[in-house]
Amino acid sequence: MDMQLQHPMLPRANRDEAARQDFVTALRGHMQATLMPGNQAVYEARTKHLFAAENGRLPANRREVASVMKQEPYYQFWSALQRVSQQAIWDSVTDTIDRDHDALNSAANRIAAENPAGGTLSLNPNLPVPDYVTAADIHLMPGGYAGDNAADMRQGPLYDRGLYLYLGGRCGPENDGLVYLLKGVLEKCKSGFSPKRILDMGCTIGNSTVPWKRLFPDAEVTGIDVSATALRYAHARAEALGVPVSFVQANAELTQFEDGAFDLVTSSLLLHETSAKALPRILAESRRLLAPGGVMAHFDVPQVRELDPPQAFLASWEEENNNENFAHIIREMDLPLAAQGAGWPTNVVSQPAVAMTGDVYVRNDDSPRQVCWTVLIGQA
Amino acid sequence: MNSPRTPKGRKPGYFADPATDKLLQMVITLAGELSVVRDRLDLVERLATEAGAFDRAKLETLNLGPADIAQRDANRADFVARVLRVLDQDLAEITNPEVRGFDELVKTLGSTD
Repeated sequence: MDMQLQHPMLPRANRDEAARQDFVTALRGHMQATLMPGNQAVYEARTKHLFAAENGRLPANRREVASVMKQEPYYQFWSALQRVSQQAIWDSVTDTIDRDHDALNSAANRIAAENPAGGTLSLNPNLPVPDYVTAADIHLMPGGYAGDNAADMRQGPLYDRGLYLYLGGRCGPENDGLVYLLKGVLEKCKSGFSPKRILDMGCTIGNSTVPWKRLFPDAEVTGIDVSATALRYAHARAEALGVPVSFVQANAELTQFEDGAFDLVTSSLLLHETSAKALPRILAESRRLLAPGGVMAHFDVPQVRELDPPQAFLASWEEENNNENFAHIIREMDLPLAAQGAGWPTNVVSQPAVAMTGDVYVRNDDSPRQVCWTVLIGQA
Repeated sequence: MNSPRTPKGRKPGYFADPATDKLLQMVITLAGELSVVRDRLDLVERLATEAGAFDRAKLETLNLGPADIAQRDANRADFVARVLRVLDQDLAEITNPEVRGFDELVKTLGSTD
């Protein structure tokens, strides 16, 4: 059942558009619950034996699993369906936005003018959008995060509604669930930590910025992103939700904020959408921006080293098929070591965060094993 | 507004014959549209029943005017275009020489030079 919080900036589907979105949800729900576990079952029952017959041993890593699974008709169909359903998500929401774009744009302008919550929006039209944002449309969302026209009100609403459909609602009515997972990890590492100034890097539509303000109402919360169109939406959305936060167009690799300006520097699923050049810069910038005693907490994709080869292969589907083009590199990196290379002391650690429901894969011994998200934590 | 529908980036194939990928997309699109129609029909029947106006025999004898027919033609054309959209994407790829190779992109992202 569709539980997404209806706020004034969310695209309003008519009956047929809503029915298309309901169909995509039903299709993906079936794939996740029924077809996805079949991949592991087929691998155990057939595919791994094909590899063993040829090599005299089982596949040792996800690349070897890939070499046989990509020939497996069951996997081929699942994978092709996954791709089709991913594109259908954006298609179903784009119908609404194309029909209703002018109203959405007017609503954004009206809410920004009224500014009921008192948050701010600061854009920098001269800021270059980095190559890793524009080179391919991440998650197959046509136009990507930045779009081709900052004056459009398209990429923001498309992402907000599409993300909810993509997650099947697993991150909650406001697409903000990751922050609550991250808060849990933070609480374990530094109990009672109460930051007064919080920076959310790569915030896009602010779905992970708003909850920080909800968690710490006395804190000043700032979200930065390179996309002007996403930030215009983020500001209007946060104001519509009645949550005052500051949105600033800036690149997390090098911001305009002063040294030590924040107590918590965080991101939710930003790092794997950057590059090998940008990552150390973002980690170094995180350190520069932290006041003494401040904490860096970046939430990102599961590391593959802790997974069985078939699990690692399945968990990596998004990279090759969903334009998460840096994810295959970051998944195998030693992130604490990368932080050290970026100037951090040796106290940066990688902590697991509990998986969302639906990311549980069943092993051949029938014991569920969770694919855990990664949280990179460091204290200044 | 006519937003782009084709995502920039690699376009992986899944089956030995690329035609199968396209056929699967068409089948799923068709299934989706059928689902939409069933949802709508269900609503209409509920409304009509509520109003005491639902009568299946009338479906066969209802007279449609030219404007009604034109509207239904347009709806049907939109339906066909939606189902066959995958072919538009092929055409766009063939006619756009700027599509960038995935391998080259990954090399760029992985490079620290």
